[in-house]
Amino acid sequence: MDKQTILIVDDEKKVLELLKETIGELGNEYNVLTARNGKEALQTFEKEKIDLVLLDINMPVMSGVQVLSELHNKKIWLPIIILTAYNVKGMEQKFLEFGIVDYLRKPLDLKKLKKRVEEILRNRTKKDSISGMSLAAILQVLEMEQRTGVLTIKTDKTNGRIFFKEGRVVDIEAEGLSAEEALGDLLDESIKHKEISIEYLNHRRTEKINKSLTEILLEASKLIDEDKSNKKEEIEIDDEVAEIEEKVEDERLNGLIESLKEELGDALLSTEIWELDKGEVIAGFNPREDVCDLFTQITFYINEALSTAEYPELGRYYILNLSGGKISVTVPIGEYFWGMLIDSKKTPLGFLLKVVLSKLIASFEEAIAS
Amino acid sequence: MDVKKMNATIHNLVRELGNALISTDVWTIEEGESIAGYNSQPIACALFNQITGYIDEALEAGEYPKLDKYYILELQDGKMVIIIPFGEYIWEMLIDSKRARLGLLLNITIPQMIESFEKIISAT
Repeated sequence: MDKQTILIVDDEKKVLELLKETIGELGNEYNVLTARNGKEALQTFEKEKIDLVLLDINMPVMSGVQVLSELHNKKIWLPIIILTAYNVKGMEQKFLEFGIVDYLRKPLDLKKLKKRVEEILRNRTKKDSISGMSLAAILQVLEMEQRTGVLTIKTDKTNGRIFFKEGRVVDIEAEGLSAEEALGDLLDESIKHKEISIEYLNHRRTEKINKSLTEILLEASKLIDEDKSNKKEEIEIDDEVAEIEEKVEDERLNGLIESLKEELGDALLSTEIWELDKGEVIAGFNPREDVCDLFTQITFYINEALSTAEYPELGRYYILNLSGGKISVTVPIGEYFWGMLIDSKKTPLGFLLKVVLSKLIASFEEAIAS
Repeated sequence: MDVKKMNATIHNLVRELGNALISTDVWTIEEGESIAGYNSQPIACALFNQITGYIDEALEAGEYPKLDKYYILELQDGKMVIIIPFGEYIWEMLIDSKRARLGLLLNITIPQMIESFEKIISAT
């Protein structure tokens, strides 16, 4: 089994040395790390897996209270023993929100400290990892056995904790969710539970949930049903909106094709608008499907070659003068491409670029953006 | 190619476009190195040699009409590049499109330059 790690956070060098020595007296079972202030402690949390924290409250740079707040914000739950020379009675309620399992007054009773450290870490090793049981079933077993501890649940959607005391669920928390929302998310059996583990730990979390387990499970089930029904409605509305948006988009793009036909008259041989993802014509005149693939490839090649050579990037269009007196114009904008094949004998290039294209490209950009 | 005549044509282009012409180069497809130019950009020769080759191949593979006298890329930062491939040679011009009179450039200057370019190459 891996050694458990204790982090001691205190600004006084002598206290750090004394505590390190005291923990050392418990044998070789524990790794001891030290930090001189809250900032150093937070850096250690990022690098190391910590099993217990001995935390001084009054420190420079970053106080113990700030450390507790940071851990709470980051939803890091750890057993913490507060070391303080002050009476913390007024702050007790606030501290209980965090992972505090005990307070020890300075000057420290080292015998008592050793006893508490051993007790907490011994319980931490009794960590059960559960698979094949629903969360509801696990809670029922914990209720029957009247256990005290913390249930940690990791799902695809959220990570959360359920605090239980003598079998009763006393608090629930999950990232950014209220207790009720967390309950719904954690108990939803359609969500895959990646990991459920239990620590039988004597925490001091106050009772926030004043309901029996049966009531909790019923409430969660109701929340899950409501959520599913809302999601179904949302999906139906989204589908309708997408359908309307597609119609509007088609109308806009067909409007652009009509404008181009008007501007160029019989000089316009064919034109196609296509979307990169679909690779097929979504609006056009005498369209050729094979053009989409051909000019998508050419555009990609030009873009890549310009970028590799660190040359200015492609702007809004490129024009190829082709054999047979034809001009091909390609306008790639975002995910959309507009291709045109024009009879160059019937349209002067200057007029095409300065008058027709500048106007239609602006309308094309507007249609795509909207 | 008569490089002297090509440089004289480029000189005419510089005179006509003034500060709208940022740079220009003429090179052979085989060598990819500038043989005549103004504010020569070696990168442009290699880059547009490569792009022209790809466009030719892609159009042929797609059974689309072949590339003829020129192609134009509008670039960001208000620039425009005009490429004139003819036989074994390619002529590239980088233009500041904010300063150029596009109508004049595209309808008169470029057709004139293409004609001169073809004459110089065909004469050799």
